Amino acid sequence: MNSNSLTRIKYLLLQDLSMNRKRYISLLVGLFLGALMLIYLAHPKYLLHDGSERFYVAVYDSMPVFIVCTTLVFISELFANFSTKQKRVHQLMLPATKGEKFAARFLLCCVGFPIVFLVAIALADVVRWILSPLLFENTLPLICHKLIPEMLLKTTFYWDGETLDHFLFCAFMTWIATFYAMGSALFRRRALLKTTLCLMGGFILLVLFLENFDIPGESTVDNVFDVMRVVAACILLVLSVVQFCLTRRLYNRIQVISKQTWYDRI
Amino acid sequence: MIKIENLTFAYGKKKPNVIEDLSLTLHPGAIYGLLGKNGTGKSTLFYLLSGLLFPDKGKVIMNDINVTKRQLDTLQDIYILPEEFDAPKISFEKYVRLHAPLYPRFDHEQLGRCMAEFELPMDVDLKSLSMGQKKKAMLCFALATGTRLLLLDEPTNGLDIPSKAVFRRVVTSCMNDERIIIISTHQVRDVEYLLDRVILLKNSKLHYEGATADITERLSFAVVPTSDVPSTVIYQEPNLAGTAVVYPNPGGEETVLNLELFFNALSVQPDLVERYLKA
Repeated sequence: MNSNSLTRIKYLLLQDLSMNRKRYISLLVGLFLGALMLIYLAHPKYLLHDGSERFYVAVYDSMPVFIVCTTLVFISELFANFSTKQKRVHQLMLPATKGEKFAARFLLCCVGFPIVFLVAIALADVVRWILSPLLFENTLPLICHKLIPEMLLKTTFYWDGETLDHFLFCAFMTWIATFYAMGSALFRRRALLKTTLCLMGGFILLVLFLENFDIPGESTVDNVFDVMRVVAACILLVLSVVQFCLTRRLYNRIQVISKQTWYDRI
Repeated sequence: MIKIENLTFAYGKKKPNVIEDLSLTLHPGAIYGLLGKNGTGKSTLFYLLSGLLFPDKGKVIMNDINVTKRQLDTLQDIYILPEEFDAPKISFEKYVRLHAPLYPRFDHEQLGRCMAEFELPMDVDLKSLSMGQKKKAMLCFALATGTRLLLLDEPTNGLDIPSKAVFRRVVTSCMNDERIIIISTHQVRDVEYLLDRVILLKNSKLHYEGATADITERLSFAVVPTSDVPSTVIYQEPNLAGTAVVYPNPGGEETVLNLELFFNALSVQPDLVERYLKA
């Protein structure tokens, strides 16, 4: 009777989309405008004087920062449905298992929103393609059909750098994703801002701490540098697992009124 | 049946207990009135009963399951209608379409009947409704869920005068032998004819729990001229029509419960009232 059901997940997703459609439409519009700014306004010189290949490279190079920032915005939305007392009552009392409710939010924030994000990039490119002839003499072809598959490939299977770098990059991205998920569960309201501030504070402390050690750079013996990257990646992956477990625990322990803790006072 | 065992709760380690060592058994087929002054923990008790808060000590057991586990079976059997709620900006019909499938015993016919009683169309847009109308719509939904435990926090707040009578009618029509309805309210006049049992909280503790029939069997409530106050009076308070009095009912005569008067009597003369109630 308490097993998970796809039908209930479907209803939870539909409820979420119907009841928060304004917020999600705003998010879609925001992403669209962000993508439009990036691929259109940020590179006017390529639009005017250079070929499509240079324009494509410029957009492609600036896209990773946009992807990372957007991903963090999505993940910070994971527990936005628990931001007020009324919302918590509604969410916690929904007749579904904890797993179903978590899965529904996870699917929406970590699968649904990224799809919306890709649609936003494509839409922005189409708008740029349509508007360019009106503003400039020459125009450049649509790039989304090439850009999106390459972005997906680069972040999943293909990596033009070293394998170790790829491993470290993936470990770091997993760590930062779970860190923001934990931040969302912890803060719920303005989670993105608060988690970012915590992250920055943590990095400053880490840098101050590491200044006390003589860390070998890339120029030193390769083996030492490789071992350090593997160790760092492993630490990040272990931390990711810990953070994910903490996020689930925080989610399971959410109450309608929190007893005041240090993070409630922030 | 719901068993509340030694329930204790405070909103922080250094804060005073809002609920203290409360033990109680709630039996199905009864409408309970939860009464108490402001800040005595009525809403907190609702949250503890529904698993929205975790007690510091004690537990709430519903169908042999601790409600804090928030298991599917438990959630399908509890509906809480808070005093203040966020009505989503969608039509009521859509709200029902999205939420009703999650309640296995949801009764669409019951919902239709309740909505008709309140003269609300099913396709009404929740966003366009006044607070009172939203409350009526959500109340209809709550009653139609078919949950065995229904918690209504100040359900008559915001309802117009005719709707209060409709409220009593629809609650009665939705009652069955398996269901427990608990109504927390300060508007005792709105619900006093509805209640089967009364739970009274005082200073974070259970002050009284009993059947309304037992109260009226042992106590009489009346308004008499100030000069004719009976000598056996337990509690009296002046009002515009004379003096409202509570006095013993040794013959067990049929009398009408005045919940406000009973509440005041129990607050002012707790020992005396309890002595007559136990007699």
